[in-house]
Amino acid sequence: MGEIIISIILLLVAFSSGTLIEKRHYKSIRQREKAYLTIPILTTKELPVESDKIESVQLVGDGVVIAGDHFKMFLAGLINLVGGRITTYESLIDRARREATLRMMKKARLVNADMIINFRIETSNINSIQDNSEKHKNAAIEAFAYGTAIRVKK
Amino acid sequence: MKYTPVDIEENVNISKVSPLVQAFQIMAGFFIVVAALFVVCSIFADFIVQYIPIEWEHKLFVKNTKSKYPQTQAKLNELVQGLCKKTKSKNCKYYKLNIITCKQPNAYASLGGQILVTDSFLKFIKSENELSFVLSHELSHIINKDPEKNLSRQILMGLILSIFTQDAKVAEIMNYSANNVTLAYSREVEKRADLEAVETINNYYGNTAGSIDLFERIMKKDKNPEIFYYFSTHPPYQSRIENIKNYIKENNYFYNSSQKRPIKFVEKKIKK
Repeated sequence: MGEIIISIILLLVAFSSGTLIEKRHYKSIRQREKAYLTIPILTTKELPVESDKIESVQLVGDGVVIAGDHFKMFLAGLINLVGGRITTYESLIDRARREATLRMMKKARLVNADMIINFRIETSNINSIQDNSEKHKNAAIEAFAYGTAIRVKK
Repeated sequence: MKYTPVDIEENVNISKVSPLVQAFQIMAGFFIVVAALFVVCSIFADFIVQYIPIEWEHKLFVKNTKSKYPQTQAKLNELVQGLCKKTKSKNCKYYKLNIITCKQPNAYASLGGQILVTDSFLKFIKSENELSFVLSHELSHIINKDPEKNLSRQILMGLILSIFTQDAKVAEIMNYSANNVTLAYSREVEKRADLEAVETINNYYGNTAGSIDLFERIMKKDKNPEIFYYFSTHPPYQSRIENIKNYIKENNYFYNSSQKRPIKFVEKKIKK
């Protein structure tokens, strides 16, 4: 009985803290995305401008690691049994990708890039780095966004 | 080529489902599945248990260990046989009582027609009628093969639940719901055993006195609030007493608490 009560309290604490952090993160993501809207990001490999018009090219990229909370993992465990979309991880991955992109954009801004081409995102699961046992399983995701920053001659 | 930035407000990457609602739905689903499994396992267990011969069980589970209190044990076994003859059972010769040493006053029905009573329990008893009621209650469990049913059900449920043990947290929830269903079922069984015990001691003494003495005594000592019994295998004492009283009234059984037999055969070393 005691164990169950502790589990429920832990889940509720994780749910409230997780929701709060996620809300704040999304708010900050939205703000920064608006600020970086002026730099176009393209996934093409070809240069959209004549090559002689280009002043410089440079690789920019940055990553982020985001952890899921206890409640998200618990619900994911439940959904794992019955199947279907693991909705609690959707926001986790979405946040990781967008945050990584924003960090890359920050670097692009620092090198005064006019656009980014060949934009890619890599995702890796780092859930059981310390320990392979079931008990220490953490839902943590790493996203790394990179691309070629281009500065055009003015 | 012209670049026109467009800000997309809506996030289509995440589903708009409340995680709490989702968790609740899945858990409610599990509870229903576990309850259904439990019912199926119970029916199956109850079915197979009938076909296990008591001789086999007796050979497997009953061991003739030397008792610390041989005289008391022999007397108690006589009493068990006497009570058993007043029930519908035909396997009385296989039923055996053993006294075990334990600080916790308790009596159990076990596999192979074994009744186990602790020495502290014998200290706690005030009259023979009271003791007979408890023994009859355990006899009812044995005659109905409740320990065997319980064991088979637990094994079956354990096998099924072990499928889910890949995820420790989920397994915990499943076990918890399984336990809760088991407790409710076991409270029903206890209720039946109480009433059958009243029947047996009425046949044996022609008097149903002693059937509620023990519960009343425990109730005075035990101050657990009602809510605790929700998580217990036995119903609350108050409701057990009421049940027994109602049963005695309905059947017009004789009840005279001044005609209780004193308990003589408990050895002095137990009483210490």
